[in-house]
Amino acid sequence: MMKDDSDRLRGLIQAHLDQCLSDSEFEELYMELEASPSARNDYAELVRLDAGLKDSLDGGDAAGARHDLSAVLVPFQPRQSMRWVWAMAAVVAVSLAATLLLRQVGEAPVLSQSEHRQEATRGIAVITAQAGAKWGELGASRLGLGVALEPGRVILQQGMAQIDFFGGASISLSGPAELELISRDAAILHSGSLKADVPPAARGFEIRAADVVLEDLGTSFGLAMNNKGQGRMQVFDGEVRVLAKDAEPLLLEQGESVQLTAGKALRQNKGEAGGRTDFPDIMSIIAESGGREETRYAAWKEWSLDFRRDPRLLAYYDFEDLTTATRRLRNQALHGDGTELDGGIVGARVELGRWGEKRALDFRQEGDRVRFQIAGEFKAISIYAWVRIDALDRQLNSLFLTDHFDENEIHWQLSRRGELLFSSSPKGAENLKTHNRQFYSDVFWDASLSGKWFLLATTIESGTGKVEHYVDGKLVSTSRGTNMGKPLSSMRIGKADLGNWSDPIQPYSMIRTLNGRIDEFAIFSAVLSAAEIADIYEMGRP
Amino acid sequence: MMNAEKGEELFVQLFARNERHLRAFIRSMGLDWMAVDDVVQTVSLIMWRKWEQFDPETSFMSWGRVIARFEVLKYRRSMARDRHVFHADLMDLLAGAALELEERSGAEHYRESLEICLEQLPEKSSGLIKAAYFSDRSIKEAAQVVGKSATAFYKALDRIRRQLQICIERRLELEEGKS
Repeated sequence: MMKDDSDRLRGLIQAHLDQCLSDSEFEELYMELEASPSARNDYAELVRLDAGLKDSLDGGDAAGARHDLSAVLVPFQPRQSMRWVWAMAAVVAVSLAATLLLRQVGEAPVLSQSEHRQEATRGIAVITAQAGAKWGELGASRLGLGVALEPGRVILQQGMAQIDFFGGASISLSGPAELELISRDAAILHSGSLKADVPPAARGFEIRAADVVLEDLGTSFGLAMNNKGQGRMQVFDGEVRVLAKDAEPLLLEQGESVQLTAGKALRQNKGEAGGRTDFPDIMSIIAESGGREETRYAAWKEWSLDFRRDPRLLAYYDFEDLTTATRRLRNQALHGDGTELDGGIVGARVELGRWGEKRALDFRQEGDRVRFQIAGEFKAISIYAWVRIDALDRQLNSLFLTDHFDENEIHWQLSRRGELLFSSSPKGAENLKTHNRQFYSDVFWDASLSGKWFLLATTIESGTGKVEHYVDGKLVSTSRGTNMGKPLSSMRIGKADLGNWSDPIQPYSMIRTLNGRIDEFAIFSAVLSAAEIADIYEMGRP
Repeated sequence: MMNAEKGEELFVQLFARNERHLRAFIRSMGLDWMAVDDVVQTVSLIMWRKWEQFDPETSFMSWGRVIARFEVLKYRRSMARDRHVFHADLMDLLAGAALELEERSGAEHYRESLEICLEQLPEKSSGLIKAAYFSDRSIKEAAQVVGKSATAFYKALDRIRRQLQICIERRLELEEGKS
C-alpha cells in the first residue's frame, strides 16, 4: 500500500476510535476493513495502542483499586468515555481532505473520491454554453453543457459552443470546427472559426492556427480557418501578437487583420478586413441558447401533459410546481392509483432542473430521499429518470431502491465505477451470491461528466429475465453481472426510496445516498421499446 | 469443587489481572469506551455467576473472551442504529486480528513495552499524550490546557502515537530475540 493510502486509513481508524467519523467516512473504513486483512491488522495495532494508553494514563489507578470482591461485583460506575468533541470531526475531515489532495496520480485506486479529484484536475476547460451544438464522433455522447474538457481534440459539427479555459480565457466556437485543446491557456484551431475573449488575468492566452501562434495581449479577436488550412485573424479590441515562423513578431491592434498560411502571417490592409459579423459572438450564443431553452422547456411540458395518459404508467412524477414548502411529490399518471402513489419528500431540496424554469430535487445529505409505497406484482417494469450526477462517491449510489431487499424486490442504482445497475433476487437478501441477479451496464459516467443531465432508463422482463439499460435514449450493453441467464420472477416494489436506501441489509456499511439531482421519474408496468425511450430522450433533452 | 471463599478470592485476583486485557479485547471490536464500560460490567457479572463452571486448568482470559464476544454481539443489537458500530462478521474479523497480534507478542509484554516507551518520551510529548488520555476531558479542552489549537494538538498526538508504535515494536523484537 502506498504511503498516502496507509496514512488515510490510519486517519480513518484513529478518527473512528475517537468517534469523529462522518457516516461516509465510516462506510469507507468499513469497506476497507472488510476487504483487507492488512487494514484489519492496522486497526488492531492502533486499537491496541489506544487501549494501552487509555489504561496506562487514565485507568491504571482504577483497575488497581479493585482488589476486593465488592469493587468487582458492585456494578461499576460507568466511566464517562473519552469523547473528542464534535469540533474534532472538522479537524479530521480537514486533514483527511488534505491527504486526499496529496495523493499522486498513478497510485493504486483505492479511494474513488480522490480519483475523481484527480480526474477533475486533468480538465483544462469547460463547456459553458451551447446553441444547436452537435458534437463530432470524438466523444459525441459525452460532450455537452457543463462537461469538463481534457487536453485533446473536440469536433463541433454544427452550432455554437462557448468554452471557458481554466486560465480565464473564453472562446465562442462556431461549427463545423475542430479545436485541439492544449492547456489551460492554449489551443489549436484546425478548422472552423472562433472568437476569443481574454480578460486581463488571462493575458498571454495562445491560439495556434496554420502554424502561426496568436498571443492575445488583451481583450478580443476573431479567427477563421478555411478548409485549405488558411486562416484570417482580426483584432476587435486590444492587441494580439502574431508569431510566424522565421519572422519578426507582428503586433496587431484594434481593427487590424492578418492572413495566415502555412506558418506565414501577412498583414492585411484595413479595407480588406471583414466585419465583426463574420465571427460567432458570445452574446448571441447566450441569447440563442436562452431562447432555445425556453422553447425546449415548453415543448417538453406539452409532451409531458400528453405522455402521462399512457395506461402502462404505474406512476409518473414531473417534479413541477415544487416550492421549498412542498413535501409531496405528486404522481401525475392519469391512470392507476393516483395520489396513493404520491411520494413523500424527505430532506431533498428544490433546485433548478434541466432548464431554467424546470424544478428538480437535489439529493446530497444522508437523509435526503423521496419515500414511495407502490403495491403490486409486475411481470415487466420500465423505469426512467432524468438525473444530474454530481459525484459517485459511494460504492453504490441510489436511484430507486426498495427498502431492504426482500424477495423479488428491485434495486436500481449507480456503481462507483459509473455503471447503471439493476438487481433483483428471488430469495431477497438471503445468500446473495447464489441468487441475486445483477445487470451492470457498461461504464458511461466519469467525474468529467459531473453536473450533466442524463436520461437513465432500464427495462426488465420477468420470465426470460431480460434487462436492458439505456443512457440518453441509446441502448448500452450489459456485459457484467451475476446470474444474468437465470429466470426472473414477477417483481415487487412496496416501500422504496428515490435517491436513497431505507432499511439496508447491513445497517452500517450501506449508505447509498445519491449525490445529484432528479427532475423527472417514471415507472411502467411494461417493457418500453428502444424507439419509445429514444423518443423520451428527444423530447426531454436539455 | 472450589471452596467458595477461595473461589471468590481467586476470581477477584484473576479478574483484576485480566480486566485491562478484556477491555482491550472488547475495544478491538470497534466499540467506543462508553460501550466498553457497559459490556465489561455485564461480562464481570456473568463470569462471576458462572464462576463454578470455570475450569481452573484453562485460561481465564480465553473464557472471558468467549463471554465478552457474546455480550458484545448482544450489546450491538441493542445499540442505536445510527451509531458507528461494525457488523458482527467484521467484529469477529477484527477480534481475530487483535488475537493474532497478541499471539505474536503477548498482552503483558506489550503493556510493559508501552510503559517503558511512555517513560522514554520527551517531557513535552509525555505531557501532551497524558493531557489527551487522562480524564474525560474533550480534546478541545485538553488542547486549551496545553495551549495548542485542536488541529495542532491532533497532529502532535498522531506524531507521538507513531513514535510510541515504533518504540514498542523495537522492544518487542528485542524480547522475541531473547527467547
